[in-house]
Amino acid sequence: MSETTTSTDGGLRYVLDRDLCAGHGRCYALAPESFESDDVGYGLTKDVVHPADRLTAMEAVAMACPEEAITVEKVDA
Amino acid sequence: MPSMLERAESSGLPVHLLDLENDARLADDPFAVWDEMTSVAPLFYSPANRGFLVASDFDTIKTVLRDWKTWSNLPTTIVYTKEQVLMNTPPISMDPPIHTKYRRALIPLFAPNVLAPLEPKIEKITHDLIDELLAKPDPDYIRDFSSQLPARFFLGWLGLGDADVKRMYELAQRATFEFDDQAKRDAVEHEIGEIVGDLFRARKAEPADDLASSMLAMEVDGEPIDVDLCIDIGRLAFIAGQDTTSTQLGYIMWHLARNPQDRELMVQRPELTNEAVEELTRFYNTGGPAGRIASQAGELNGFPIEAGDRIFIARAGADRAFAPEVQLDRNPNRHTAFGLGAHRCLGSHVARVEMEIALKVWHERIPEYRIKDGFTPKHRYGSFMQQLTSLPLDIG
Repeated sequence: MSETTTSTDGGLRYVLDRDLCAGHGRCYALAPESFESDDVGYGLTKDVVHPADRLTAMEAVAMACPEEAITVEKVDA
Repeated sequence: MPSMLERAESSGLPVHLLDLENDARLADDPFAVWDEMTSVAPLFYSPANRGFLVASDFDTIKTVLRDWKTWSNLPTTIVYTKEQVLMNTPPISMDPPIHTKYRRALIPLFAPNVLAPLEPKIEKITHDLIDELLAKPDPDYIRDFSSQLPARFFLGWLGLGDADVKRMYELAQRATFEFDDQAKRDAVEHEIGEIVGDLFRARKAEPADDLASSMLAMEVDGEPIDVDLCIDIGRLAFIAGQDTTSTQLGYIMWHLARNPQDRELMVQRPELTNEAVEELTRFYNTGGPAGRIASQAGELNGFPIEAGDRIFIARAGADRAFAPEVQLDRNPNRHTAFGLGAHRCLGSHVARVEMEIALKVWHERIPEYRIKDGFTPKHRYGSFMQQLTSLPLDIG
């Protein structure tokens, strides 16, 4: 949901589909550097870009979402 | 209109018996039943009692739980029972868009930021219960701890801090497990309704700092919620706040008491407690509201659905199929123990906090424990969940 401006050589970021989010809270429990809770426990993404070698770890976080609401996408350089 | 069975036979859908009222394995080894169900097919038909479809893998379960237009949650009978037993448990027994409004009003009351200040209370109750358990000659984790922690904490939070906790827990147990017809189910709901009704009427007159007062302050469409509906929601909270977390904790500890390496890991690496709760909740998924009725014709995995079709959501086997063994620090770990979609367990954050504190404090205080020699586990299944009925421990 948030656009990044911090990357010049690409990288990876999480994308969260708020329509699918049901507020399980796994994302901000597992990756607090990249997600936070809104006022009532639903996930929000933080404006963070990760290096490309974090792909596997990021996919594990996305996989933990029971609603399949999280994807990992490349940031354009 | 062809019956579910006729449609199953003509379309090649597997027919396999899932009999939740008579399968003796549910008393001895319930997870074998769930593993078997998931091994049959993602979708099959069980001819038990009035007959019902069974969704038993993640994708099929996800499809059903997301498709509320076809698969309704409106007050309806339990799908798998011989007798028709109606369950009216708002907001579970609501569909969007009405459900969405009530859900939106309730969600903030159970949010993580509300729970943080309550954690010291949970820790205090946990220590008190451990003190009491250690003083007993025959400690039983379920009788003395896991049945008591959610009851004491949640009832206090709801506003029933002065209530007879033992009686309240027994009422919740009866509402979930101990009825075989509508009359018995109604009788216990009535008894709970009187207790919760008295509380809510008192708080309506004079609000206090508790969950009942917060519920009464909820608004939907800019108007306060009708008190009787609020009491119905409170009845569900009374039951769900006690039975679910206590039952899940019982299974978690059953695992740890049988598996010394995992118990040792909890002692040595308490920072893994959150992951361990996820993994053991996945592997010992206790169930949760488990039926839907089709409100319109449609299709599921290519099978033709007609309005009125019953479906049972076999989440336990689906979660176990992700990985057939326990690994406490499993990553990634996806499971459906708190459900999926619009009806995701409203109290999931409460349950997780209670379980995490319960396990951390327990392992600080009681690092050495094991199941008492000669113990034979007994389980039971009722209305929407299963539980281990006792867990005697040798401590030290």
